[in-house]
Amino acid sequence: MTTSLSAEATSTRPPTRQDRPPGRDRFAHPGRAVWPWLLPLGLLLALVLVYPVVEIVRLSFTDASLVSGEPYRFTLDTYRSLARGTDFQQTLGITFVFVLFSTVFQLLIGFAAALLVHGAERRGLRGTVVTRAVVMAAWAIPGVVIGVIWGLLYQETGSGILNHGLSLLGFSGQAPFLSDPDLALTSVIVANVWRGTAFSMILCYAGLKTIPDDVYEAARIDGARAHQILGRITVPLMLPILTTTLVLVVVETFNTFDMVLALTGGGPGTATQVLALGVYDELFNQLNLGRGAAMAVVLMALNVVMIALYLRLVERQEGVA
Amino acid sequence: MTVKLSRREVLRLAVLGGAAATVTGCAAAPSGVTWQAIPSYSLQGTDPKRVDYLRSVLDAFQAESGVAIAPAVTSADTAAAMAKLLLQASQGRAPDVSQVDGYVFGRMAPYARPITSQVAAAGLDVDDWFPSLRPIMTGSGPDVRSLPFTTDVRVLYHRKDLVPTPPSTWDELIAVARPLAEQGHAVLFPGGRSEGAVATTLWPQYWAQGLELFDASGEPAFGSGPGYAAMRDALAVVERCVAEGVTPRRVATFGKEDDLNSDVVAGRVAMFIGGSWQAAALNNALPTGDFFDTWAVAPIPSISGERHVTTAGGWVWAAFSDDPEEVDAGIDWVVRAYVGDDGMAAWCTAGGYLPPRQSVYSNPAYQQNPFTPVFRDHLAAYSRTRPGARKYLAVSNSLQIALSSVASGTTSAAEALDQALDRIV
Repeated sequence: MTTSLSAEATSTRPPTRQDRPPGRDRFAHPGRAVWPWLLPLGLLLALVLVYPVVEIVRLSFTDASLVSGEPYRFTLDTYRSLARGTDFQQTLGITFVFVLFSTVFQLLIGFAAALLVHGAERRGLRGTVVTRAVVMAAWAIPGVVIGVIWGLLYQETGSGILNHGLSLLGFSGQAPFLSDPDLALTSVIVANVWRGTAFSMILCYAGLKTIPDDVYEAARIDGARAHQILGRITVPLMLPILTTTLVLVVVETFNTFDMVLALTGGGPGTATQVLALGVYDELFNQLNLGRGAAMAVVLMALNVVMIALYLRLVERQEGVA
Repeated sequence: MTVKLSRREVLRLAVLGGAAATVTGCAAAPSGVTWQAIPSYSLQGTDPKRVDYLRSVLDAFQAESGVAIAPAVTSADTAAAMAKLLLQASQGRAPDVSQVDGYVFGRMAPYARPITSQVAAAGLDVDDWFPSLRPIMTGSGPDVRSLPFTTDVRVLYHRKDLVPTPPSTWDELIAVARPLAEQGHAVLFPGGRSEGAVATTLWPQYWAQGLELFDASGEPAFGSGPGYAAMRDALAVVERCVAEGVTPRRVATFGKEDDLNSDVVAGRVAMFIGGSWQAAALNNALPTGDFFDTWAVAPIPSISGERHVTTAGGWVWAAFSDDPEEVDAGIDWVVRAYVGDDGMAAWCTAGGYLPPRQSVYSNPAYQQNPFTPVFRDHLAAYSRTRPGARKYLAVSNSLQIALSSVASGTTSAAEALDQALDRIV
């Protein structure tokens, strides 16, 4: 006994599963300790997560409608129609443009805003708490309300707030923010950046708070300029939080549909129809459960890839730590 | 005396009590009926006039009949609410009596209970409803399955000072509108992605050419031949209005008819195609309150000018309960509040709706606005309702996208129609 304790105490490697006595391996005897604790949560997850996902995947291989009494058959036509139909390819293209620009600008502006607030705090300036609260408010507003607010801003007459401002600057004051297909997508991206920047800012701000002041102090003593501090200290030390923010923002943007629904409804034509809105449209406006489920599976696959990437990053960060 | 019961005996008593209660409940008259409406038609509405009316009728009905009405309200997103109701109805879980959007009812009709006897018992005559609404009531069978209780109709509104004689064709309309547009007075219609846009702007132009949206087998009838040409020409009307500059491209963002109200109030409109419900709203919104004096109503122009068609809409009540007594009680309630002579007159007055029953127009309790007689004539002479075909929603959605693309001025009518046909699965 003494020998074994001494062996454990002197060992430098962490204990592995093989090191455990067979009789005390809780995973080898699941009924004893682990499963009773995991079972309720496992059942709950199976009921509210696994079952719906399996059901959606199953339905995506059918031509079912939302009306449960109507007959349906199993078919690959739903996926074939997605692959061949120009509408779905267009929706995917719009979604990627929407996600790319929304993410890049949310991250850049969020990071810049966090740097400003953090810098102001370090200099003891007033108003940083108010600034954070105001930014958080933008994040807390529901997407539908943001859609309505930006709809008022984008109104395409002199009574529209942005157009009125443009007319004061000497422009026509009739910019087709939402009726021109190209400009409509830009307008939706701008509204989404406004909405999501707060989230990026808060995460970046939290990341900035973890960087010790000593590091900055040392850099200043060594004569580093502001842009050198940013490029060689802040950004490298913030990289883990920036990548995490990037993944979270991408996932959130892929799933955005409420704001777009309220702002443009996906129009004009399909100029602003993102994938999540397409799923809603297919299910609730056209009652096409099979095709809507197939589109949802594609959306889910995109999200799973991003989540897998996120988990990989977290694992790597924990490994480094 | 103290009676001690074991746990098993307590459980037995509870089971027996529950069974007795169930048997009693089955034998008695319905103790409660679930009544589901959309928010603005329910006790959760924001208009005190309507809510006060409903509360007073509900209290009186419950006191007299002894039937408890359990109010339920759908979400404000009526498209999603109707989709959910359709799912519930198909699974036998729909509320006992529910409000259904008239154009969706065709899909729900197989699950709605026949109410012919209840309609007769209430002293209502099916022939009293406008002929265009009767197909919604009976679906494809002989029985009455729904009760339309509000309706509406789309018309051409024109400013009397700018357009004294309303145009009958689109050629005339564009000729009249061109100089007016240069003075800042546009022609507006909803051209965005919504059911209201196709119902107001597109279907009347297509129907006026004498064609149907679906063939006898329920497939879209505009895939080729005369149907294709008619739909392309209907979209071309919108294309031409935008290209000629009489209609701004921003109509591509007008999903609902009401979206153009702010332009009308701002005095930027010479003519617009809108719904009957807009007249009262605009009269209230105008600072001068003289909408009925300065504007007039005419049939929606058509391509040939020989035939005019418009779309009628509205809401219906339908019963979904399996229990005949609950169906009786539910229909009694909606007849009392919304469908009967006094109920329809009061509800349509409170909400500013058009009554779908012709006799109600002469009911003294129904307060009309100056345009109501014209709307009534249009309902009788020009109106049609949307078909209840299985593919209607897919067709509508696809052509909403086409209409919006054409209105934005970036896609031609033929191109938009071809893309729409590709989208219809």
